Amino acid sequence: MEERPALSPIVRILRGTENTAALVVISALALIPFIDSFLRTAFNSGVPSASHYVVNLVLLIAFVGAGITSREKRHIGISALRDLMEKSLAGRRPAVLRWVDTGTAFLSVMVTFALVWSSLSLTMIGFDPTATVGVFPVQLFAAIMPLGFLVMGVRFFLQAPDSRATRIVAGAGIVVGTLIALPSIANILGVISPDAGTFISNLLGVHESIAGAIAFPMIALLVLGAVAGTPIYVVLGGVAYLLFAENGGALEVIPNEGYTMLVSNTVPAIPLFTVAGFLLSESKAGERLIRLFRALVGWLPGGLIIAAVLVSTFLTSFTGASGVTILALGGLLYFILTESGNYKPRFTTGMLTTFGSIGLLFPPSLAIIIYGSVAQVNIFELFLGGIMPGLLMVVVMSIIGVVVSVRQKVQPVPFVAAEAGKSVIESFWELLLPAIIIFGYFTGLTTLVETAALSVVYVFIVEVLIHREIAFRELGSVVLKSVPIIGGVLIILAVANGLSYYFVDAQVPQELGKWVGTHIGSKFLFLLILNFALLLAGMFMDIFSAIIVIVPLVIPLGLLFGVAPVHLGIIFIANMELGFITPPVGLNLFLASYRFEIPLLRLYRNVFPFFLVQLGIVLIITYIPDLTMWLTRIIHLSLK
Amino acid sequence: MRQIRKGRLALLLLAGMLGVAGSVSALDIKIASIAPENSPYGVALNQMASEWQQISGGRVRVLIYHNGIAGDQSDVLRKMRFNQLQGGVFTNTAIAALVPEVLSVSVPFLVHNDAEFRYVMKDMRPILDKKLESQGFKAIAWAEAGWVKFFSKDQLLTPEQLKGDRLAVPPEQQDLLTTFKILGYRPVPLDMPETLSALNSGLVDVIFTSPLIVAGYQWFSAARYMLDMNIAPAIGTIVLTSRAWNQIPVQFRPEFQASAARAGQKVENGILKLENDAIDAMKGYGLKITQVTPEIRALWETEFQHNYDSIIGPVFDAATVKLVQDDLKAFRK
Repeated sequence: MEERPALSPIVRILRGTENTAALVVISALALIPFIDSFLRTAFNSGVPSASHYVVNLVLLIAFVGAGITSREKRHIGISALRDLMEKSLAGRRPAVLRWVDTGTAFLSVMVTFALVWSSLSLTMIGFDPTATVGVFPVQLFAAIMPLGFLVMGVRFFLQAPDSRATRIVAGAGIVVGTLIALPSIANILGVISPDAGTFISNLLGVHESIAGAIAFPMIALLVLGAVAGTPIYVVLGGVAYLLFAENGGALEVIPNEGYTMLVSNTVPAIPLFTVAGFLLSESKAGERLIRLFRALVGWLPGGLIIAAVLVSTFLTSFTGASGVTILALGGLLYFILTESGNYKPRFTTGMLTTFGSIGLLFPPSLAIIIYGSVAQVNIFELFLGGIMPGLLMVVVMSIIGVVVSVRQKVQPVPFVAAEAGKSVIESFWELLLPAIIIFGYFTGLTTLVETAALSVVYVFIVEVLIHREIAFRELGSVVLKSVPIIGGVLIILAVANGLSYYFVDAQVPQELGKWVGTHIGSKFLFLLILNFALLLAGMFMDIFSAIIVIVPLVIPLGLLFGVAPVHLGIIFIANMELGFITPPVGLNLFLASYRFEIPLLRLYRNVFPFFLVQLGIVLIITYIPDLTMWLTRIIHLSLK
Repeated sequence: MRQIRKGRLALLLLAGMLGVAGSVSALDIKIASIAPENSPYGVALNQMASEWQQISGGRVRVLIYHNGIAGDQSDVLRKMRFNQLQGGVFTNTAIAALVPEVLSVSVPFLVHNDAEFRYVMKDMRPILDKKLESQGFKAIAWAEAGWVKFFSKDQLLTPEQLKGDRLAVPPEQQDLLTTFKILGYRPVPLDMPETLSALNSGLVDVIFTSPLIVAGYQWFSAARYMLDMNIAPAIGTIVLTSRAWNQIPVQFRPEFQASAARAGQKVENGILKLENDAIDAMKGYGLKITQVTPEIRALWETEFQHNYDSIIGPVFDAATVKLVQDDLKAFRK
């Protein structure tokens, strides 16, 4: 399915427009918060509606980006079954594989076109027509959703294997997608022509019978597709869509949950830190930092790994969103560890993926703060409680690093003061970055989003203007490299939120909570069920949604079984961290697959040993309450 | 044997069909609330849900989504527009997206106490209800939800002091942001979850909100001073979509309305008590209350009232503010 060799002028112009749009949005995303914080600090003024613009720019970059992700065929999926077939067929009967790919194209087209209709309807009926973002109507920003899905849908169709039969099947996806979206189309018609009443009710009658008949077979097909290369975005979004279609819910809810997720205030850090990370890894910062790390910690076996753990933990604790670290630092740390430390890619990717979720227990983690607010537990005590369990994770990972280094006979580099001094001077500007982050955030100069924007601007200044390792001409293409990742990741987060809302709507967590409350008698069993349920939640939900949905249900159960509230909080967050790296759908696995450019299946294998270690730590945290409560008690005693 | 099985199958099918028919004829009303289930809101909503079910003999089923699990207030409003949810509980600042006039009651230092609030709401309610109805929404209850106050890191007493401080304002409350800017203060738009860190780091020094919020988010651990002065009342309301309200069989509507009004009353009584409890609890954690003498209060009132011209009209709806002012004049006589 190669691209047709020569692109027509129209296609070229469209692509150029798309790229330019992405670059403009990213620049605005970095500059607005930066300028806003500057104006506030210097002139006690600001950019009007800055934060409102920023979250809506994230919406834009998510959908422009996801369109580009489709163009580059960079949506990730699990292709285990397809790979197996490819291997066993060994070039014979190419038709089989072509039909597997056609099936994927059909599903992708179907789900994406259904989302085109529902997001169009959402844009038309879900918003107050008079509401604005700064000086623009809200609906103008929201319209990027149907447009983005349309671009993706057309591309999925065009990328279907090239024969008439396969085209027809892929095209059938448009028809089926439109049929399951009939209620949304009825809503659109209702806005356009209010007296289309009978026609609309006929549409809805048709839909009820169709949705009832095909929902579950289609879900089965999506699950099958999930292991045959169908993008994760299509699988999660499609399952959510069909579940709502089947139970008669409003179909606009799936794009709406995506919208809600994308315009939330914690998300801008994801694209911003990703861009900063790309600028760093595409310059020679990596080489400078290798020299630095070797000179400073190279004498210690595993020193590089310990440094990597600490840097990752720091960034995660402060961005609060696990996974950002993988996008921001993954490329750089991978380069450092494989080039300088001679660690194998298999070990390095597995380890760095795991590092991405350590750090949520340390201050100033937003996860802890939100947990404390929702659960009404003292936030200071939660932070105290998180220190020992958090340290345990860091220490264990460091020990693994040391052991592996000794086993692999990674040669220590003797410490030479002169070389250390030189390397520090050489990477002076990069070293200043964490200092600036810490200074800006902890002295109240910048908010979280502003800190992320400041990082992008700072890295741009250092690598493009000071070191000049990225030529100004190339800047666009370097930033564009990060766009398919940003789009691919954000679109998965968006539809996953739709799926998790299905469970909220059906009150599944409540029912589960009630069931546990009445049927489980022992604390041990309760904690085990809690571990398992949170692991599942961590796989499907982002941590903030999970806290809001699940914590209120877990609190009364915790009291019932006599688990200390602080301990419960630490169990909760540690468990969510584990969920992020749990195959097959832990969110960090997707991010890592993108960043390290390795297939998901191979990443599962690479992460698995680390997953087991983390699982062990979570169990220790769960069943040894003293680990968490010890520090809290000591501080309490000393206060009295 | 086979016969029996077939018969059983037919029975099961029949039961299944009846079940389906039953669930179709019942009307599900899904209402979302950001308040916890054990709060006055949660308790009142649960009771209303069971009352409606009883009144209608099970023909109307009310499902409550407590705790903000169905989304924040602007999200709930969207979900009501496309009919995934049929109702929601809103604060005045959120429902102002539909009826900006509701903020006229909350102009700083306009309404002074609970009695005045109740008096002006008598005239305001019909106006607000009508405006909501014109946009496809039906308010079934209104309730007072406590008083907004200043909480600060260092002791705050006079408007002059506030001018040197940075004031946290939720980014979605543009009206408040504009008001403080016009009045020459230094508002900083700040998301709720980030406020605690921002107080600690010094990004902001003062917050302007209800004691219940301060207790809930534990901001009192950083903002240790509360200025004991009612600045503006907070209001809560339960709103359904008109579409859902009109689907409720006509004969049940009066009783439903009465049940909702009771819920509103319950919320009001519960919240006012809870607010006092929250302040007491925060005192236990070291919150210091700064008492306000009539002179100090007069200082604040003049400061704001002097500037009413620049905020009433541009920020607040002039006609309804005038109505509130007239009502207050009559009441204070």
